[in-house]
Amino acid sequence: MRNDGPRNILRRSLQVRHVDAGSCNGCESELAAITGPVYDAQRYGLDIVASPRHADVLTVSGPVTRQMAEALGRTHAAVGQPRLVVSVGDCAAGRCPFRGSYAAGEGVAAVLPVDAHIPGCPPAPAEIVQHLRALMRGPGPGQTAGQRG
Amino acid sequence: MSAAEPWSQSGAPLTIREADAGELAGAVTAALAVGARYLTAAAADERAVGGGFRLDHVFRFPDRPGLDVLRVRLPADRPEYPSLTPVLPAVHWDEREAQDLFGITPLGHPDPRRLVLPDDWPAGLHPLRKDVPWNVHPPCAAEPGWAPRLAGGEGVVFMPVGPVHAGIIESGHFAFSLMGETILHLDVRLFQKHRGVEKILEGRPWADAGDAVERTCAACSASHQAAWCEAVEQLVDWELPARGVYLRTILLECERLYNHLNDIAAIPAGTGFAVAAMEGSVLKEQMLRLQGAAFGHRYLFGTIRPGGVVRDLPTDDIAELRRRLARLRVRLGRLAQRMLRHPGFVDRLQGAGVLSRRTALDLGAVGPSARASAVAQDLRVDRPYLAYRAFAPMVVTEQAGDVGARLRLRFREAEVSFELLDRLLHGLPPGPCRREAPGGAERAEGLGIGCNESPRGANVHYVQLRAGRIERYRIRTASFANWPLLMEAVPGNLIGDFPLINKSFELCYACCDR
Ligand code: SF4
Repeated sequence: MRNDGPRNILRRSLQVRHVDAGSCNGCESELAAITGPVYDAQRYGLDIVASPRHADVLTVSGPVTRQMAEALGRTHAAVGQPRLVVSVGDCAAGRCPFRGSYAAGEGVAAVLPVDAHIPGCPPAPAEIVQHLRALMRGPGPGQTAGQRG
Repeated sequence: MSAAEPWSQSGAPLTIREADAGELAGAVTAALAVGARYLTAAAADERAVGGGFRLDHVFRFPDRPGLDVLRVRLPADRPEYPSLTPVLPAVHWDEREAQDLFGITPLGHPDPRRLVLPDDWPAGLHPLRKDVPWNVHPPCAAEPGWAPRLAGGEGVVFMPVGPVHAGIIESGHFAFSLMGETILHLDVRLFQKHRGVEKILEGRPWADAGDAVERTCAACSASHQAAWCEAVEQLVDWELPARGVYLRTILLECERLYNHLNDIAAIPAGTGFAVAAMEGSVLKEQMLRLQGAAFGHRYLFGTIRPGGVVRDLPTDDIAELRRRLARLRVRLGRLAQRMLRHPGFVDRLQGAGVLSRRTALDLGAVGPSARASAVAQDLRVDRPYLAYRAFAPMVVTEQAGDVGARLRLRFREAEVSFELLDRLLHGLPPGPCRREAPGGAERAEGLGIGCNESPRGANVHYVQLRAGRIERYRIRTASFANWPLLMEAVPGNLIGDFPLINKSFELCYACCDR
């Protein structure tokens, strides 16, 4: 059953759907590399999937632009429960040079519950893989993935 | 032109000519007739300093080293003028953008819909006007501000795609009108990633623009940094040391190369030719690692700053860099053989997404997308800057204008870049890589225009300073110029070929949306 909480569902496989919510494309470039021949994240059971309906984890980059906020919310709602949200890159954590402008938001945590963050501008592919694998080992009882750092 | 007007890096002044709104179309037509090339447009709000609105169009004439600015002033209470799109179709998006951001109306524009502002943005609020705060967050409008244009007719099916896509792709929305599997019409709703880059820059001292400018787009970051620097350097007469000139050119050429490797890998991915896509992505990763090691950042953030470059290249590293590039060059040559001699693969590319030379010229196509449609233009040669003055690259063109032509072009251009990089690294002059700002630079005034040939084509930064601070900053990127081409190139193709065609143009969303 899928309603046991992330600890039980994310042991061997992690299916990731990504939303670009206003990145500079640096985070996307590095994310796209993780399933390529050099980093080959599939060997760990990690994969990028085409639909949020197939995903356990939603990764989000960018400050969340005004125009992308609704699409992001709807994509998040489409991911089955239980689900995790991971913000990718400094912009997504609210450290964006465009933060707070008339068109850019305050980061992912301002609009969605964020379970973990992958820092960097952009984070290198190996770091992305490492952080996502840490999620797969699953948080301990009473902890969220984010609290484990 | 006043004496206080600036000098371009090439030592040639900007020429500013004023025209009445009613004369604008005629003046542009006359400029085009003598071969002028349109580079950018920029509106500005001068109401706070006793004026109205200002609208500049920037051209390069083939026989002059400097740039020409055609300036029109519009009254504060009725900022409107006859649309230029009928005489210069390349400005159609610039006009829509100025309408959104400044409330300047291009009368008679063939498609005056919203372009840049979010769907829920209230009508009548123009965020680049000076009396609108940078961080305004107005309540949502009741009616969406954008609707797709669709093809009519019996049996036509509408297929919306995005803004969230199946792969790891930037956000953008495509509205297809299909008959069966054939695309009849494509409308795009970009600017999903509009971040207000230009407004954020206003009010900053010119020296503090780097972190925002370089994050306009990761894929063209060095090009953005260089354009910002050129604009500032020409305003304050800042001479670069020779080594800084070479290193900046090396950074720009590395950026072109890794982007071409990325795009070369993306095309076989679009046809299911996995081996070639994988090999291409390995080459891109090697180039990114090389950049990280040599310049301190995989995407070259923080490398170019006014006065030169931030980090020198130690002599020992140069030999190693040349060796690594030489190995990559051999591997890319092998990949080219494997891809271009694969009949099934080549067959998929032939005739897909054809952009005719006529359309490319009419819509102001730039970069590889123009050159693959037999339009020989390249700012590195047409208006040489930095070390390209001494090392003019060969301008490569292809005739067919299809996906295959755009792929072959990138293979050939990568070859030219490898050659150029080797010569630049070999000839790297000694000395400092950066020079201090000349006296008084912190109070610089006036208009500076920086432009260079990014991996995707002309990237133009229009920078107006007042007392050392940014008054107006407009960025017109190659992707902004080229997105409308895609809409011309896909009708008649199968929907299944769209990703392939899209990849062959490989346009940035972040660059376009800003
Ligand atoms: S964190 Fe850095 S790389 Fe990622 S989107 Fe923001 S600016 Fe780009």
